Amino acid sequence: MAGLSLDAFVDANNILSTGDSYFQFNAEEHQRIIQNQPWKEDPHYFKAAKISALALLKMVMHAQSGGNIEIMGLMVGKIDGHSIVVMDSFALPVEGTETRVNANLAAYEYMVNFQNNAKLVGREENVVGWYHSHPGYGCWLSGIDVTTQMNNQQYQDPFIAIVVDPIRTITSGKVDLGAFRTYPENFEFSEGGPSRYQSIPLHKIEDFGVHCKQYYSLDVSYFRSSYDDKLLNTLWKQYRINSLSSNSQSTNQTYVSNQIQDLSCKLSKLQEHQTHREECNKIAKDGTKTAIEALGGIMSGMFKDKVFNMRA
Amino acid sequence: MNDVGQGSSSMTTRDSDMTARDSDMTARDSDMTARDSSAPMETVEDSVVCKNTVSAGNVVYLHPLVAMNIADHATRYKISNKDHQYALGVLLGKQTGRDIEITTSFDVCYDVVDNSWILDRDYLDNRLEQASQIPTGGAGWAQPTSSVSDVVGWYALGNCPAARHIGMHTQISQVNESAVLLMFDQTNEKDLSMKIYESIVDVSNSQNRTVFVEIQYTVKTTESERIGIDHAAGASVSGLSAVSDVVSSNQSAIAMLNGRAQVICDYIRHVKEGKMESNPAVMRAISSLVSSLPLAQEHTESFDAQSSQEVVEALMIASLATLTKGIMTHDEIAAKSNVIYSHNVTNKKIRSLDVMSAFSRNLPI
Repeated sequence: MAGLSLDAFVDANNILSTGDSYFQFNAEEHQRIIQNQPWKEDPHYFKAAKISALALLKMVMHAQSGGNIEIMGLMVGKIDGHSIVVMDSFALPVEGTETRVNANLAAYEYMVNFQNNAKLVGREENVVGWYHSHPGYGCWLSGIDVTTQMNNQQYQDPFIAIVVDPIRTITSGKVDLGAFRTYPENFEFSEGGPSRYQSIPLHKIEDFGVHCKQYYSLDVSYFRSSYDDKLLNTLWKQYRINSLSSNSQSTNQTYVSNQIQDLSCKLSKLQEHQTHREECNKIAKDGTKTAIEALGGIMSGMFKDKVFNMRA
Repeated sequence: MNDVGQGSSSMTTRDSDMTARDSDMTARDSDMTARDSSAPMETVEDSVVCKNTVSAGNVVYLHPLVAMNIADHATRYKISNKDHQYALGVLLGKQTGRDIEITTSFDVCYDVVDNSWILDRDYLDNRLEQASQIPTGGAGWAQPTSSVSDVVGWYALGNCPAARHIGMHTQISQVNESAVLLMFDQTNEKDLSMKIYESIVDVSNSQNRTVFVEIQYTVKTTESERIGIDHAAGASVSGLSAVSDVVSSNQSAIAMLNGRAQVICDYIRHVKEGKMESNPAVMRAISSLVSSLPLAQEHTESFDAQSSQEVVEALMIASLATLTKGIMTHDEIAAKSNVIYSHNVTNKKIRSLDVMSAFSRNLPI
């Protein structure tokens, strides 16, 4: 069955496969770390986020169930040196619109209730962060997100913010996810801004630009238990075939035309006033990305045509 | 507990009735025909599993998320070594007619009294109430997946149900009378096997008793679920180029499909050569699969028109992107040449050659 075994992928990508030890939780040790608060000294203390396969899957699916509406949830886990380990996640009964997800009192009650329930069945971990979705406009923190995250870091640190883009996940075929922590309010921001380039729609660019230096992103990696390993091995065979039965072009139609419209708006804005050449390059880059995705869809279509349509 | 789990080491999921049986299909089918011919319904007295799998034809769709959830539960159970006798939980999803779609799950609280499980209903109701509060998401764009929160069954670890499972099943049946039981066998070294059972009332020995019957299920994934799993498995980390990504994912899917088709061909060949008895159910399934193949052929013209339209659109996007990139490159060249010519540089010739080579490097084609 072709050389594309799971093992090959795992080896090639240096994925931490057996993360069983991550599932151990020591309440005392957690308390000790919480009391020492090493992250108060160094705003860059946390460097990485380690996410379990289960939590990843839950977040991605929750984000997708929201469609164009922002959703929100919490993550539970623990601290491991300079990393925040996310073991599980759960959804909150909150719906947001356009860059403003905000939890209200009812949601806090829900959260407390949920945690109590989890303790009853032996799940001792604490909340270590929140996640929400940015459908179609990339993973970064908006002004409101920055405020929310600052509050969280002030009152219930260690805390991490994760953003998932369900629409870009589908169009690019890769999970679009970012993990962030904010700097303290009076922190001298280092130059450089966000490390990874991503396309931000025109109507969000102002919000992005104003706040993009108030936070930094963490390296994200994933871990799996030995059971997950076996399970993925088994599932791998099952769902691979599904990629033949989907049509990315028809699913992504709206997103692609929005993308093109956004690019043309940016271009006409460029004409109005002289801007940096950097901007032009960004537009060219985004355009190329959209084109590559569209061509990828066509390519899959052609494969399917060859396989399934018996031509005379 | 004898004579249960007519087990195979490989996982017994089925895409359709027969495509997923892989290698153990041969053994299983001959087994099945043998059973069909020796019809009398007899069950071993103390077994709670009825082996005559005359399932009512329910279709169960299982989402990978559920499997991952149970695996997580099993891992916690393994690691904590607490007095959790068994990891138990309920399966949530949606039931339409005979079709059951299992979309998510969570663990439940229970007490152990006289070696049997007593379900904590308050806990369950509380969790269900919480699950029902999660909004179902926006209109249109995607099929909401986490929107349904009916109890459709429950799960336990182990390789086959025993007497205590009947007791628990009765309690779950108070929530949903057609509940199913998923057994998650974590003991197997290589693969994890999952089996789904429904309960029937067996009246064969002039006394009513509840027994489990294994039913078949299909793994169902949504697009985002598939991408998520790929990602978690480390497979979506990009390869050499955008082209190789698309090609390799298609290639593996086609190879998989080819493998399945091969299984069908082998089966038919064996039947034809008389090495294997033919099973009418399998044959029917094959025939319905084959007859659905020329479906696209009947509409070749409209299909071609549609697909060439799609190609044209994609190429248009590509040419638009290329144009944009070209213009940007031109702009850059112009800016660079301006710099050179305005500063009357001595080594003008060489510099402009540099610019030219930079230009040709940046050509988008």
